[in-house]
Amino acid sequence: MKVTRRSTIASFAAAAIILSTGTAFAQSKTRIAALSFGESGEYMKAWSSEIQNHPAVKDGSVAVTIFDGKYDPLVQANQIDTAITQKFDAIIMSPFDLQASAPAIDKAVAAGIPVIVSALKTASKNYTASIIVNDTEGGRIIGDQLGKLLPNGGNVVLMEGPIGQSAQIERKAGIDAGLAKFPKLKLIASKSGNWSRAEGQSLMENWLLAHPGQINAVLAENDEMALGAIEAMKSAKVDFKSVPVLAIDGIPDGKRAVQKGEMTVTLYKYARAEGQGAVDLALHAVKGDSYKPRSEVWESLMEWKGGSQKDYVVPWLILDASNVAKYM
Amino acid sequence: MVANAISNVATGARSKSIAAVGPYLKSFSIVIVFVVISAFFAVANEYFMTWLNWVNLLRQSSINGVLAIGVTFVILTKGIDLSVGSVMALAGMIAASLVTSTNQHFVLWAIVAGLGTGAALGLLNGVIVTAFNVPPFVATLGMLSMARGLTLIFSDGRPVPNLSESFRWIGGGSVAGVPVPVLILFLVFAIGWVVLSYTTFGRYVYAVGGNDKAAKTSGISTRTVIASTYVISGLLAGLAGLVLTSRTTAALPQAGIGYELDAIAAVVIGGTSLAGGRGSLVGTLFGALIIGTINNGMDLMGVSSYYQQLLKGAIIVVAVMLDQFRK
Repeated sequence: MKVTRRSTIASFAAAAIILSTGTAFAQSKTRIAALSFGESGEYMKAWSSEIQNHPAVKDGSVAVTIFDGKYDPLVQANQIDTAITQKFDAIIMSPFDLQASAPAIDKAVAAGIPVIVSALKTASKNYTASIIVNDTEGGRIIGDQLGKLLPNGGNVVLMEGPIGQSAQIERKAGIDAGLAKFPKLKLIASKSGNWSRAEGQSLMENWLLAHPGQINAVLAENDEMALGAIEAMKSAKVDFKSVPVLAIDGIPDGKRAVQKGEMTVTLYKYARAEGQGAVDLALHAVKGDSYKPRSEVWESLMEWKGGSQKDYVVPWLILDASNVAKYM
Repeated sequence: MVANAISNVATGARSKSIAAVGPYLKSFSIVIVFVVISAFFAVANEYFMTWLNWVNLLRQSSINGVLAIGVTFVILTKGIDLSVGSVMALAGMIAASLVTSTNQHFVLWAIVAGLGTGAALGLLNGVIVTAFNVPPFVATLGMLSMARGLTLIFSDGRPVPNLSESFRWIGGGSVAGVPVPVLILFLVFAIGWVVLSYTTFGRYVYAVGGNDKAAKTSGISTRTVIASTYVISGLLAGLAGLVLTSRTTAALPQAGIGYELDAIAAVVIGGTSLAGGRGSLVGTLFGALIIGTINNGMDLMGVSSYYQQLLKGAIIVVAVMLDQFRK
């Protein structure tokens, strides 16, 4: 019995040593902690795979550890503590909450670790650099696109993100600004679907019952909710050609829906720009101004500007049936 | 007479296990599991055994630990409390609303309001369970949703930021290098342990959970005892809510979602029986530390969170399997 227990411990230890040599080997590399706000979401998963596909990570000169924030600001705060203890060279963070992320980021910066904020905003002012799409602009664009699609106006329903999250607040402000230019468009219902496909579906089912034959367009602050709405429209036999659906994010399922003609427009949030761009900014923070960025996004999409700017804005790509195939 | 009956109940419970040392052996085995897991991570990662990491690890386990201690009381009486995650969100939200930059009161009032909210919702749980005979699972499942709803109504779905410096000390401060949340955890553990092990109330809790009919016949007001455990659980959920809100420096309407499951997991890993009457706070404390250690250690090693969830679930099931085996 004793022997078995000892041998179990020994095999544990052996496994541990094998694993630890891996860590020790990583010591000479630049070590980056990437804090995703939730790895079970499609966009964040794409974001972290783009980070792992950055040329510097692929060729082994940079070691990246992905942390899953599990949609919980406390988990993210704990992971910042862990990253400080582990003495990472830089942190890339996609903060789940605007306010709650601030003290954690301040703490890491105070400990001398540069923090690159990616994908979502923080209330902290001390972060090293940020690389984020402009959500207000995204909202404005889909409002504007809808105005062009329905020049004679119509009734619009709007699905919102979780009330209070930075992306919801800004996309809503942009949509309001975009729709304001088209007084013939009338917002007849709006409610939060919490970014969720299932909630978007039941919202749309209820709206189709409440406003039979009166809904002329659907706006959703993300693709997931729009996909839920599309499912509800299919069951209710609503014609997609007469009722355009416009959304934001350009996740793979969203792009497929655009290709099939079920979704009219989605704005593509380029995970590679926010992910790989952040890696380059982190390496710039570690290595200084001589560092040359290696991700292709700095050639195809954005300007590097020496890497020394504080806030980089990632542009939206407007995807519809005419160009979606290029980005599949 | 009451004391006699209790000792009878206790003897009954004892004859089931091998000897009176049973409970001690059990708490001891959970300590061994904890040591083995720690040793594994210590070998696997050079940062694991640093003082700074242990401070992190204890701080990371403190909120779940406090919740789990409260839930232990409830589970010992054969009950369950699914509402703690939502209750902590409401308590934290109400407390935070009293210490913002536009509505700033003395921090003590915020603490009293937070603890009071937790205890009040706990009392409501207790009354629903004991006076209206609603099964604990259903009563607290209802409260899970009601407390979350109240949090959203109270906050209008918006976070409450800009909390006062003194309030932020509860979750962010430290005394002699030890973070305040860790001190709170140890204090709650010490008080809970004394209450369960050395007071009449503590023995009533075990008696009610072990055999409620016998406890009732022997004159214990089982309803009062059971209701009290829900008040304790609610109160500690309120306390955990204060710590959480203070740590994140903003009260969030979505705070604490799913925390009840980690708390129950800690209790179960710690060897407390869901059938009531058997278990200890030492087990729960180490149960919470084991969950914290797994999260922390696997984060340090860079293990994918997908595998972390798998392992956590497996450990819960294995813990209970071992428990059944021992019986």
